[in-house]
Amino acid sequence: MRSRAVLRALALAGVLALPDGASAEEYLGREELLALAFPGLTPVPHTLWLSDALRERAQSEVGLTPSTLRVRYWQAGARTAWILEEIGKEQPITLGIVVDAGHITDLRVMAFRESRGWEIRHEFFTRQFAGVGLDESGRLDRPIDGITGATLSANATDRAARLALWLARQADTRAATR
Amino acid sequence: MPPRADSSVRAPARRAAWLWRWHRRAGVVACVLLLMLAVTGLALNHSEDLRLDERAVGWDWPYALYGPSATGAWKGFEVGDTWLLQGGEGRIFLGTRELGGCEGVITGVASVQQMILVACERELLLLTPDGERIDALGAATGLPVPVGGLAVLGDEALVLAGGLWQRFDADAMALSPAGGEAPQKIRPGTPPQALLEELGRAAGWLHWERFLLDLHSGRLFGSAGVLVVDVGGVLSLLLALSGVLMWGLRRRPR
Repeated sequence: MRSRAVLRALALAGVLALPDGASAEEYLGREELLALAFPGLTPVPHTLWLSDALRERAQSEVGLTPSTLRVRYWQAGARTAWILEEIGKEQPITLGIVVDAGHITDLRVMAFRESRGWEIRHEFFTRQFAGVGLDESGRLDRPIDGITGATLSANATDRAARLALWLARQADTRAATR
Repeated sequence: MPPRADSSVRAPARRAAWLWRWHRRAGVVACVLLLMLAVTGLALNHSEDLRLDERAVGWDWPYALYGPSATGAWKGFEVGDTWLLQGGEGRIFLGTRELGGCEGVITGVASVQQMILVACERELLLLTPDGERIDALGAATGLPVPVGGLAVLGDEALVLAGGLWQRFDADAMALSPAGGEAPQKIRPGTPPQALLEELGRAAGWLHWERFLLDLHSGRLFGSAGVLVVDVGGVLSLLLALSGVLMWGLRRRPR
């Protein structure tokens, strides 16, 4: 009887000990992100088509190839908002990244589907990206502290940030040549 | 007539000789099986170090033994002259080309403006005719969920999203209320058996760990295989018992 009670207690403790990120979680919707990114403004939706040449440039300049042939973004003035997905370990993490004048002003985890690494959604991690830009070698110009146990998710966030900065640069170039 | 004492001395020797004969015969029969069990057992003991749960079996014949049903239920929709399918693990395939994941169970596939629209419960994927991913719309990016299916009305694709039929705009990757009568939902079909068999191999779902486990237990060859391994187990028991018995009989005359 005693061993059964102990087993029950252990099972209950196991359930209670599960991290709240054990299942797919959505933290922020698109409209909420846009409201945060463009307070009081109505951003204009745009689409950036990524030709083979542009994808090759992304690979050579930031070491990343966008996973889709086109990327949608929202713009008001010089500020752009990007919703990107990057694989952590096995599942994509949806990130909302706001870029202004070549620097990130805000980065939010919108949806997290992995069973581990959900800690990256916390502000102590995401706020490190504020003010970060790309250096000449295509890396972030400021070091980002990782999180023990969430290395892959932190790396995915780093990649998404680099890609958003690179995409924002392409969007600026396209706007300038219009 | 030989004395009684002689026959009582020879009887154990005769029994030992009989046992030895059968021990050898059983040993020869069990030898192949024991070798297989030892090799697979050793490999399985070090499965993690050898990364057997990650490495796919490269031969074709084991996949044929498992058959297409082993990969789980494939759900497929016919697109032009090919099929778009989702396997038990959630990955989607255009023909035998893997296209990656899709959130939730696939609920519909439609051709839209020379593109392919794939609906899964929590995601819409827009693909080129050869399966390259153009764009995606998920719950986090404004898709009402669950997505229950697709329909085509003239040139337009309609998406049953969040319980309502909505018009799909491929350029804006957006939905707008459709109104009118409920259209006929596109239903999944029955993919050709040959494609399922090919997919079973192409998907690389059979990892060495599962293959060796099933070989070790005999399940790879169905119930007959299990029976053969059972016989091998009984033979091993008999070999051990007969070995001990022979050892005892040989010692007794001294």
